[in-house]
Amino acid sequence: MNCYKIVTSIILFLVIVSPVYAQVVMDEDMAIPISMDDENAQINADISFKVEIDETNMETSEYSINILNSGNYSVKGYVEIYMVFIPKRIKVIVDGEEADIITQEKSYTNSRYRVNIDMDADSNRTIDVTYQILKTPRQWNVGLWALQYNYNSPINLQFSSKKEDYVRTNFNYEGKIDLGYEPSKLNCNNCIQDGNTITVNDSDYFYVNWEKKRVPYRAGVLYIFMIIGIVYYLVKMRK
Amino acid sequence: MSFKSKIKNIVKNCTDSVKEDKYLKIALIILLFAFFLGYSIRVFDFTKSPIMGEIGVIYPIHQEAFPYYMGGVSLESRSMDSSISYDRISESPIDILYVMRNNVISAVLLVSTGVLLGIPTVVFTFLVGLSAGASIAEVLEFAGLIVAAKTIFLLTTYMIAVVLAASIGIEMGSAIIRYLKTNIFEIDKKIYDKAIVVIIIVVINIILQYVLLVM
Repeated sequence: MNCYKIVTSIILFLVIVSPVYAQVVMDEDMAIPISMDDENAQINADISFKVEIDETNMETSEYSINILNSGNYSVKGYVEIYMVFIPKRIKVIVDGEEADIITQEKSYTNSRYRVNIDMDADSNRTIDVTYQILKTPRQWNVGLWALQYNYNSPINLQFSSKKEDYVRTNFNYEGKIDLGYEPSKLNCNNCIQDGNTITVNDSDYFYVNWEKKRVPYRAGVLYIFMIIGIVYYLVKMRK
Repeated sequence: MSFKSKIKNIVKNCTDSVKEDKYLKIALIILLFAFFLGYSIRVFDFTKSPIMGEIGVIYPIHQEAFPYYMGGVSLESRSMDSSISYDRISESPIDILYVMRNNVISAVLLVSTGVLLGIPTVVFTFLVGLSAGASIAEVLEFAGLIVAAKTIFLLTTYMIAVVLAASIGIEMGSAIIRYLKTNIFEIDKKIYDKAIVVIIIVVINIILQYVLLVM
């Protein structure tokens, strides 16, 4: 009887333990090694900017990015500048010297430019990005009485080290967006609006959208002609 | 009889037959009322996007004009005295298959749904008018003069085909209703002429749209 109990206990033990063990092994395999250790590569990017969008929607932007690698490993990566139109001009200066810009994509709907950045352990670099571009309204849901615009940071930083494929980058934005006209229905995310000026302070992300009012003259003229025609027809039929 | 007078006679006969054709009038009235409704709701921003934009068959304008007017919207912001020039978007998203499909399916749909007592024909004619009216407002507003003129011209030729095809559909529907009532199936012989005219206009439209939009 005792023997029977022992055998049953062993079988039950194996039945319970084996899937638990398998789950533990699988979890270990699947776990993504997220580095919480301060000694690993860590990138901090302080981004200050000044954006001016004039009455004709020509945007002139100046971004200054201070990147600090506070980790013990050197990192390789790039600064990517993403836009939704083709810029009139773009210039990137890295530590006082003009950098070679790699054009990733260039079209009227998407333009991407990249500058490669390598950083030693515990070092910092300064990148200045200046560009001028026509600010385009959203191409879908186009209102005839108002065009919708939005703005968020075009800067993206991506780094990797010999230890990690992806090194986390902490962003900190600070700057101003000056609009050359009175925006309507402005919606600010992580920013403050004061009249035509939008201020971003100590934020890792920001997003603004607004509308610019307009009058649909061309479509309106045809509509007025249609109304005149209908009224004329009604008056004529009444007689 | 000279060639000139022959042409005059043909045009006069066509005009007279159009004036007498009640089905053509019904189709035209439906289309124009729907067009006015579509234009009204677009011009007051009641809708900010194309109506029925996903259904290419009953949506003749937006897809064709979109890349052009998109350039127009972009350039909307540009200062008049500015010397900056951006090339207009030149790639057309449409091809010969798109053009053929839209024209042929539209005509076949409007004619063939006439057998369902003409009700779907009337609905589709209304939707074509509604979507065309809603689209032409934004094309007029944002596209350049040449593109707008081209679009209006192509819309007009498309509308002619739609009205003719819809009139055939409605006539077929009414013939079936009459047949159900009186047990006599009668169709005016003019319907065959109209069908030939529809085929000719659809072919011409395909050629025109291919030349003006795709090439």
